[in-house]
Amino acid sequence: MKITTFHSAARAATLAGVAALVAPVAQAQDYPSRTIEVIHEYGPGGGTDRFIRAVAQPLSEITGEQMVPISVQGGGGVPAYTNFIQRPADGHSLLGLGPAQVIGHIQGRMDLDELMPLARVQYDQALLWVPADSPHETLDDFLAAAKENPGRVTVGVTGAAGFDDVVVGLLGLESDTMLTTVPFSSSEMVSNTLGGQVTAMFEEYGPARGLAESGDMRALAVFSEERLDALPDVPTAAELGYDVTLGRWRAFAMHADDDAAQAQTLYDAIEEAVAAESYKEFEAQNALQYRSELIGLEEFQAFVDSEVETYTTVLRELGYIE
Amino acid sequence: MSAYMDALTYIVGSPVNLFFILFSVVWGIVFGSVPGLTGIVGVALLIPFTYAFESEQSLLLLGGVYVGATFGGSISAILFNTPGSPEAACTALDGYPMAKKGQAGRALGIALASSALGGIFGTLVLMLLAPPMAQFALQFGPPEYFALAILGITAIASIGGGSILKGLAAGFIGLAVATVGLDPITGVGRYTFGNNMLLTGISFVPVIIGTFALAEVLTRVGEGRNSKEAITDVSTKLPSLKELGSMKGTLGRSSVLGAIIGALPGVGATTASFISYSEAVRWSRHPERFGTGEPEGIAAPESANNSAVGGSMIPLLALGIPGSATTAVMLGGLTIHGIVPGPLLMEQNTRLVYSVFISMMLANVLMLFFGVRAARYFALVLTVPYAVVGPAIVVMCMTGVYGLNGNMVDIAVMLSFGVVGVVLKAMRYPVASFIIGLVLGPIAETSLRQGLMISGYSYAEFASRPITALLLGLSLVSLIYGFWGRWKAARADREAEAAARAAE
Amino acid sequence: MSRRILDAVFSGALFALSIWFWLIANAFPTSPRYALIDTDFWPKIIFGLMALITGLITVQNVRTLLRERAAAGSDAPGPDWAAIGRMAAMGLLVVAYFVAFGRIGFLLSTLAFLWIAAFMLPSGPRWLKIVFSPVFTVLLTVVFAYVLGLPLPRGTGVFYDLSLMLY
Repeated sequence: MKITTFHSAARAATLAGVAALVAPVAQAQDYPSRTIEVIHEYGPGGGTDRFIRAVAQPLSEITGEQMVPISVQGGGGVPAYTNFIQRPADGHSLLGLGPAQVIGHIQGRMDLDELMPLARVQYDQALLWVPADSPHETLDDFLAAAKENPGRVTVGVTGAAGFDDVVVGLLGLESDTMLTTVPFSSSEMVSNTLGGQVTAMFEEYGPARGLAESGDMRALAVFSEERLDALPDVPTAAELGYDVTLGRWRAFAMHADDDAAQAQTLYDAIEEAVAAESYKEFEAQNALQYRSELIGLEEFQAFVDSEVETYTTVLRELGYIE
Repeated sequence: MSAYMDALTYIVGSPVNLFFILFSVVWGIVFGSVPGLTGIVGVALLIPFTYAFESEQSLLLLGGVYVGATFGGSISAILFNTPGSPEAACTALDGYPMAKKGQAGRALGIALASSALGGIFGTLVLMLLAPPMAQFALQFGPPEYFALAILGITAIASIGGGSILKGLAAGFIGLAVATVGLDPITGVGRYTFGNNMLLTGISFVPVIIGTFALAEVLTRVGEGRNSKEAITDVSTKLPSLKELGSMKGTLGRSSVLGAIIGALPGVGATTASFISYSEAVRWSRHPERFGTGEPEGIAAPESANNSAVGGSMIPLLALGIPGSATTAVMLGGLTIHGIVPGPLLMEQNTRLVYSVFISMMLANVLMLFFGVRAARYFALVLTVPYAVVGPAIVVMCMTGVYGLNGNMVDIAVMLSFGVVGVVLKAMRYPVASFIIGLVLGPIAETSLRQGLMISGYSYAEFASRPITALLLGLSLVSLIYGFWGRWKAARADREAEAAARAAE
Repeated sequence: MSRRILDAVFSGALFALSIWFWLIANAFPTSPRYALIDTDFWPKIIFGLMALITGLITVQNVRTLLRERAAAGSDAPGPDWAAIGRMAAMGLLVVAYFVAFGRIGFLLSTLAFLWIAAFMLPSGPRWLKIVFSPVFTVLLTVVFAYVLGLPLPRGTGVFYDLSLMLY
């Protein structure tokens, strides 16, 4: 008995010694003390990867430590989430958070209670696009056609049973129309819409901007509270009587049991980073300035909670969950 | 024309730009040849550095890496049966057997010459035909993708000298493996057996590294002291014009296929190399020679995958849609520089676009020169005893696969498929058919279901689209022809056997 | 003789697997919105056809087997057990490396694996086998973690902290 105690005490002492040697005691002052890694589920060069890099650039100047995106792709974000959860909660691992995690939580594949929402940085807005020569001039034309030919009016979306599908599904519910969503990879979605294989597509403004400026695509409606300055003639869906304003947001999360003081330190640094010139420029280039308002910690937690509620309702009505 | 001159003076006039092209080709060859590190990783790693450069320079850099990496994979595929990048998986099928016959130098030379020829062809198509090619690619909806995949899959019946049934079974094992993971349409998990990490599916890169590289290491270990270093002649020799001339049909067909498939969004060099390989087998007078070191089995995938590089730049530059995973990363690189990719890019940024054309052309020429060098350095590894090289290959594969996605399950997949590779080989099920099923299966499945959705679940409407009908018809004819040929050959064998028995 | 038995057993196993996977597909959750092309649509086609093909191969193999048994005395050679033993030993070592890779991190596991594997294999000078492991491990660590900034596994617990000091 005594020996065991001695042994475990000795072991504890050794462990504490090693810990003191290698892991600086968590203190907000000398945090971050090494590279911060952000796990996300999208490919390199995609919207989320670029988002993390754009924040990382000014952030590393502020904190003196690097921040790098780590891409664990596919599987609806579950592998990325699992990878993140398995890392120790020492403040140096973050997770790229977005509607995909909210949907994963509702489907029971992830658990948002394991996460501490840190900062929501971007809040994008999507539009419904048709090719320039489409017969549909307005959203109502389009919905009327869908009612007339059930199943023959198709909307290209990216990802299966994901965010895009939920928003288009919500539009269908609001307008009492059966819209067929066809999941594609993002490049195939655009080519199939341009080539007239599908009737319309659902995409954020930034990626579709080139096609809008060249006149190859027209937007029928924007899913946001307000019209976009860049497309003043495109009405919001809400104006037309369909209350769909859900947008893709991009955010950071920490582990639920991460140190609160560290979280505050990091949030302050992010606040400073997103105010930097280089980030503002990035935001404007990607047409994200319209409703991207930085919110953090408690306020962000409340936002996430309300998103969970909204998506639960929609997913239930769409028949994805019981 | 003045725009070309402007771009040319921009590139040639600046030593920095020339150095960038040179550096990027070498960087690409290195990334392509190291297993697990693909061209995509090579391009992605350079993106942060391109912040500091002009947009033209960053595209020079990324384009060169893309060109170099697509060839680089074939070096390790030929010398170690370890495809350095997925687009080189097909090259290993005939490249390694040829190297084992003591003709490594010849195999590398064919790969290099075909790569350069295909690459130059693809770049010419990009320079001269980008807008009409982009419009042509838009005619390809899901039904056309499905028909294209089926055309490639039906070649399984003609591959592998052994039994037709075993070839088909191996192909179906590949198709079966591809069904694991999230359903691409409904988002339901399939065959994950409760392991959420398997939702991503069985990724292609770990599987090819397992079935080719790891299986090869295990086989060599199994041979024990009997294992001889058969690969001796490694001085890379470019093929003679006569030899190239004898493959002109394969080179031409594969380059055209490569450019077209590359231009299709969502499919790229890997698909192009496999479909060209299938076609090379189908059109060959000696399909049974494939897999044993047939020169055309190297020329077909290598010319196709490099031609697809030029092809996949077409939708990127003409429409702002990336034609492949690598160009998707390049698109991200463009937006960092404030360039809005879209149909207006070719009109508004002529210098940028023409710089890309010229630099890709230069990169392909430089590749001929550096490819020979790179292959020579790699070949030095062969002089080191296998007792350290074999384990080092295992370590490289593990590290590379982990670095790709940071996912331990990918490594587990790689290890399992190392065993699968050994077993398939031992049981004489052709590995080529297995890999073709694995590559083309997901395309076939997804596009079939998407196609049925957009044609209102009508098979008649699906199959009556002109390109679809043409491709499906071709597949059917060749399938029947293939079976008939094999049946005839089998009957001839039996008769010969019976005659021999009678003579006894 | 044993070669034929092995052939028949292998194709039979593939046949059984196809049937099993077809049945799993049959039990997939259904999505009413995609009823005509549901989750089980493609797997059922693939595993159905696969069962057919592997079934045919099995029949063929069994017939060959019976014919040869009737003829008695076949010269088909059996598997090379020594080779299989060597492969299995290396396979086990690789699996152990994989487990260690995740638990104790890249550095230590690679060092150990390269040493053990090199001494397991014949040929090659002893000094090379000793020197190669540390040189190659350090080289890879430097290239991956520092030059390329790609992730390397750090292990868990104490090993995680140890790895953190180095990369």
